Amino acid sequence: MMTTMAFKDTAVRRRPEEEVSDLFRAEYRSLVRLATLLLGDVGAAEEVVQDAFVKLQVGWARLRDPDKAPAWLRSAVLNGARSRLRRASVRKRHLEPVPSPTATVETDAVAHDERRRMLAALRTLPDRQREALVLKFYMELSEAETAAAMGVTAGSVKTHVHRGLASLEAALQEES
Amino acid sequence: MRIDEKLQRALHDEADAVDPLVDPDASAWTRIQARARRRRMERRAGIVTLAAAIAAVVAIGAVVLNDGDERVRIVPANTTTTQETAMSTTTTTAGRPSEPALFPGVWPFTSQAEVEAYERDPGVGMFNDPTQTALEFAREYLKFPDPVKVSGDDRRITLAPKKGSPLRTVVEVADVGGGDGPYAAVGASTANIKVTRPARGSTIPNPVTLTGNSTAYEATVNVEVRQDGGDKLGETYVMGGANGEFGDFAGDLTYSPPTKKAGALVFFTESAEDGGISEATVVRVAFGSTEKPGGVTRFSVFFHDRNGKLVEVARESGHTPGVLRAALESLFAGPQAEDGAGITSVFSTKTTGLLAGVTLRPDGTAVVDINDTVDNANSSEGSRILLEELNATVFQFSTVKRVEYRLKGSCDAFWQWLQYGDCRTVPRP
Repeated sequence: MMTTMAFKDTAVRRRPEEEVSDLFRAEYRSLVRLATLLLGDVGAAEEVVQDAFVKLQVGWARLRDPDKAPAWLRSAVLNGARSRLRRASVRKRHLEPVPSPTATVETDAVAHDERRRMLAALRTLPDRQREALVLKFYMELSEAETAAAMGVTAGSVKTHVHRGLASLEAALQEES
Repeated sequence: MRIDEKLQRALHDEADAVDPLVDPDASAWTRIQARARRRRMERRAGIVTLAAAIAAVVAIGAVVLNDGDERVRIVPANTTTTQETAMSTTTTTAGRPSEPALFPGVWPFTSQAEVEAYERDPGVGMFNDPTQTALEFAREYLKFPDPVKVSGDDRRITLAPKKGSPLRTVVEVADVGGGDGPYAAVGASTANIKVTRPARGSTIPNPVTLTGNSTAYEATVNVEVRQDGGDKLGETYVMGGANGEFGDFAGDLTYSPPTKKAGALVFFTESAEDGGISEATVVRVAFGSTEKPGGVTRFSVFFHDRNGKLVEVARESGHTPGVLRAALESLFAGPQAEDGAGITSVFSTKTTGLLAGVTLRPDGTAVVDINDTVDNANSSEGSRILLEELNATVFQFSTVKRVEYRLKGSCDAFWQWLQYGDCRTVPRP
């Protein structure tokens, strides 16, 4: 009761749409990229991210700490991507690399091939290892932030990263 | 270049190629707004539909399968139904449509509030996945040793209690979040334990009658009543068939007064090999009033016999703001003539009205306050007897995890009066 009273008394509150609109501008692009790296499918990634924003907006009034909304969105995107992958239909498609709209004939063929093989190997890793690697090396989150987003301990993140990198290295060596 | 550097470059190159629109006027934002509106409407409609569905079940009254020579009449709500069975005739009162709807989830969510709390902070989001929900339910609620999925879709997932076991339990999950999770287990069934009573979603009396058909090792099927949150209120076993031969079972189960409005009946068998739980049937139920049809609540109070041994004495109460309060009021009124000779206590007619107040906190702590001291109760023998009678009476209710006694509002004063020192909490023995 005390909390509710305090909340009501302190605030000239913005509408959820306004709050979420700001977050959309700040976070949407990076979240779609994150989800694309996890799912390998831009369309599926956009759906997962939009779904996270829908949940956030619908539940905004119940959010205890609006400052944590970006972290909440990251977790929601990870969960959504995980569910998508389990539903399997995406799994077949995501083995195909996403065509790069910026690729040109001048693209370095060797680098492109290495990237393709790296991403293909990444997508064969267990979900947790792939998530830990993408959060650390793409989102550049700290171990603590990665752990919070994944809902695991920092020690677990270290293990997933270590094992993931070892598996990637082995997969790339095997291919070459 | 090291592997981590190569990976970092590959991820950034790949991500840079993805350039979704970020203008809030563009289609993504428009879609989000449209879906948010739809979600709110669906949620409202979902709650109304769920309430209507439950009300419909309640309105039908007792729904029991017509099995063998068991005969059941289905009648409208707000009436008293007579269920005529081969064993006995029992009378129960059907629920009223105005009662709150029974939330379908058994575990991990037993209310809409719990679902909403989870949606705010889903952690790893385990319960956004139906299979994970089913496996965790089997592990945490059913206590299967190491459950594995055998088959199933997003609604009915067939599990084995551990790898290699031929036994199967189908866990039924439902989306309780309004479209894409989270999920809750709403029931479970095994072909080896078929339950005909109580019916799923029914309001059970106390004691509850159990009937069905089963086959199990040594014919024994264990049964527990658990309230929402998992607390066990009572247990028994019933005997059906054995060694693959099915046989009917029937029994009654008396359980401690619940503090939650709903729970589940869990029927399960244990492995002959290692004693682990190997299969289960789970039936979601609501708890009826603890009052019997005549408006009477039953409980026990505890006094001593001439040899100083604690004895249990049955009591009934006609009006009960709470059964714990009723039990304490009855205890403080002391032994009655009809209890027979030889029953003694530190409490007597002189201490009637001793109870100043009692509350049961959500964490299971009962706070019992008395408004005066009791004659002869602060000697070492007197205080032992007083505490034994109080503790036994309070802890007969499984929902009480610990008790704090107070004298005129002061815990210190209570224990100092008994010459035990300062305030302490008595844990459940």
